[in-house]
Amino acid sequence: MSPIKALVSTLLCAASLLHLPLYANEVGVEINVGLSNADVEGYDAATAGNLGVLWHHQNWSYRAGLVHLGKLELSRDDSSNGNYGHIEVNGGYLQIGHRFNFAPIALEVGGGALLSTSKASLDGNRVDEDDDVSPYLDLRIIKSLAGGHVGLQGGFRYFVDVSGSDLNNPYVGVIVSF
Amino acid sequence: MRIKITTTRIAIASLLLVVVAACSYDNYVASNEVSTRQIFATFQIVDEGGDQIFAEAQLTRDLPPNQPNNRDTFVKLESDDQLWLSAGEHFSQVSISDDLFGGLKEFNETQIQMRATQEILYTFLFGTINYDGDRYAARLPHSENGQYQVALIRQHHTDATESTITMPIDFELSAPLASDTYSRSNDIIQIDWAPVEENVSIKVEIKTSCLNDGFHSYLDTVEMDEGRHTIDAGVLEGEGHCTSVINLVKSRLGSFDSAFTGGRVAGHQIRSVAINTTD
Repeated sequence: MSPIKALVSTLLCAASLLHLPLYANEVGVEINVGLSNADVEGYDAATAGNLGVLWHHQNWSYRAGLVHLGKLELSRDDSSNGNYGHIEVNGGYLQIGHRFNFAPIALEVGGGALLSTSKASLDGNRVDEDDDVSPYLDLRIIKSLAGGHVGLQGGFRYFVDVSGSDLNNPYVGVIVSF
Repeated sequence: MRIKITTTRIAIASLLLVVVAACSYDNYVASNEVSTRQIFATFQIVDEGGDQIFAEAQLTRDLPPNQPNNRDTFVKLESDDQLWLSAGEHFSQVSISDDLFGGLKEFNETQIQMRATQEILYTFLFGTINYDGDRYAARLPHSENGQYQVALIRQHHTDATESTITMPIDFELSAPLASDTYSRSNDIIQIDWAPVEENVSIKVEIKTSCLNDGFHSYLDTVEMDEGRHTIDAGVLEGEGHCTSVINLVKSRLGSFDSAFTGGRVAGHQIRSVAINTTD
């Protein structure tokens, strides 16, 4: 075996052990919309959404993008003062997931890290803000359409301790693959 | 004849100009035109023993309100200048970044923005507020430690967030009892309360309203808080069958933020009882 072939073989072997993709099975863009709920009593749910890119290879998905977990508002019914307080959470995420195929649908289980900035305000006045790195779990069901280039998905994310509260995020969305 | 008419018209016109000029005096100034150093702050907080306290605020330019011969200039809040009442520290002074959700919820219960008001509730509180001028008010749940803060948050001038008051402690009237009947001319009325407290000023105000005789007021100062004040027979005025409302007021002065030119921050605990009085 020539030195060049030996080197290529070694790299192939190492890459497969590390699950490093050599050929992209699927590269796409996804957009999801849903709700964001805080586990601290007294906060109303907010509209949430995310936009990201994904790379799917050999049943592993790698995702990155931006997420808006919404303006979670203090319920005025619970407030004796009628103040309108809210916390706005925005961030970026990195995620890895593994897909299990149960044709005609697929189930994907993943986890990742949220890098977020949360801003709290009371009656429009800034109170404080916090930058956080928070882990999360993700579970989704995907249904492919249009020959596999479009997928519909619905899922649930659970963010741990984002600026003092766990946040859950049910969502539905679309994947467009290239 | 023509000359006389012209002179008369000129005189009338001049008189009208003087009257219009006098009546067009603006007694308020927009807050964005006044620095914090030009503001005299008058804040008072009243606790009547219920679930909430009531706070009033009035800002005047340079001088306290109700000064003799002084034409008060009231500061009207504009351009996002705000007055906030807090049970404890104002949210601009603390950090809650480790627990934004829980911290904001907690602040929401202890902070309230004071709004312009037309209410007139405590005119017997010694003339500190000029009820003809702009003023602000708010209600807040009763604070266990009795400490409150009034903060002026400003868009283009220095904030003044540290005007504070520690209220006199809660107390209860034990005598007289509601609907007791006393003869104004023959009976001594004994007012009892507990607990007593040092470093408070105490006033007794009694408003007597009679069916055919209008209203009568009585005001006295209690020198030391010993839990008792006696009203001698023959002191209260009135004719026939009357209702006398006794207001016992314990007061303490707080401190105003040093960014103001001056201020008066007062806390009042008021307990009241209505009795029947006859001749």
